[in-house]
Amino acid sequence: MTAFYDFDIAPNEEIINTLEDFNYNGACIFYDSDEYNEKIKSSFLELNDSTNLNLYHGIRINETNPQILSKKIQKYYQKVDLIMVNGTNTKINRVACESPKIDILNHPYLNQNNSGINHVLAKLINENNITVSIDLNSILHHRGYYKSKILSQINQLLMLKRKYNFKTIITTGSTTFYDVRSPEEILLLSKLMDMNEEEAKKNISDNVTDIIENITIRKQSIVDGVRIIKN
Amino acid sequence: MKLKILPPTLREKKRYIGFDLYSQNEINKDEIIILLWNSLINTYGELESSKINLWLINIKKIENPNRFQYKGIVKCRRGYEKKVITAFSSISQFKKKRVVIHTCGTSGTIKSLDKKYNLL
Repeated sequence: MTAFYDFDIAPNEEIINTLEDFNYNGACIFYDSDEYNEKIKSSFLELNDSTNLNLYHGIRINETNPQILSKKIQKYYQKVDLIMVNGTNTKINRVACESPKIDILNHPYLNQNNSGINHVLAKLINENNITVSIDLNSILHHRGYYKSKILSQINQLLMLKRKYNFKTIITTGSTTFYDVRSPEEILLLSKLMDMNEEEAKKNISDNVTDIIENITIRKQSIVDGVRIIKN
Repeated sequence: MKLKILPPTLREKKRYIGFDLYSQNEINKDEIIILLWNSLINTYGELESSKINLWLINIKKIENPNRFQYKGIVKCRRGYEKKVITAFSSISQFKKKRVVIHTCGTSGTIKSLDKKYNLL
């Protein structure tokens, strides 16, 4: 049976229970980088104990200044499972793509006239093993002109993805119960974009599993390239 | 004079879809019909929506302490079920309040759908 993951949810017990009802295998809770502290980490551990889902936690960096972004990445690199950067402008997208310490680049197309990724950035994303996240929330919360604009931007991103072979994932970006969608619904919604069912399935299962593997490798490694293998 | 009903071979083939609707505020049947049709038209346009032949069969209110919950059945043309489910799952708001529709299943008869998901 395919394991499905929703890799961008808010720390909310109701969301986690709904994901459990929809037979998800795991999820990743993202906290805001400005609010993250030890207290939040302990609350995450409590949430993790209360559910059967495989929960991971990460921080979401929402910066417009590239220098502050680099500092924040350095600060949180060893503390959390995942680091996600919101693509706010072209400069941020560039810095995010250049840093191998970043795991996920979230909606690089937002507030742009194109996908936010060009051929140069696409190569960098592939080299640095970064995953680009497509946020369903940005599609579902817009209508008319804005919705079609976002869909065309995502389609451009998917075209580059196919050419340069970088990984993408689809997330719901759930902050409330009303944002949660079942895996079947995500697969159908992905058809609104330029994506077939197999590709969509990969985006919520295989590509996410690869990110989880990266987390375990990172946890085992002493320095970059050297890791302890336990028998 | 009432027209004679079409023979089964000439009748349109149909599928029934069961769904759960959760909402922040109370919605009546007419508003649900508007919500469902608008989502179809917004997603697939007028031409494609006209082929789907969406029809709300039944809606019932379920007691839920956290939010308003409804269970319902819609009828659509066979072969268009996935499009209907896609349009339903793209619903996120109605009258500036949050709404979500989770489909539970599709079937060829109302009876089997009700037996499985208790929708009537």
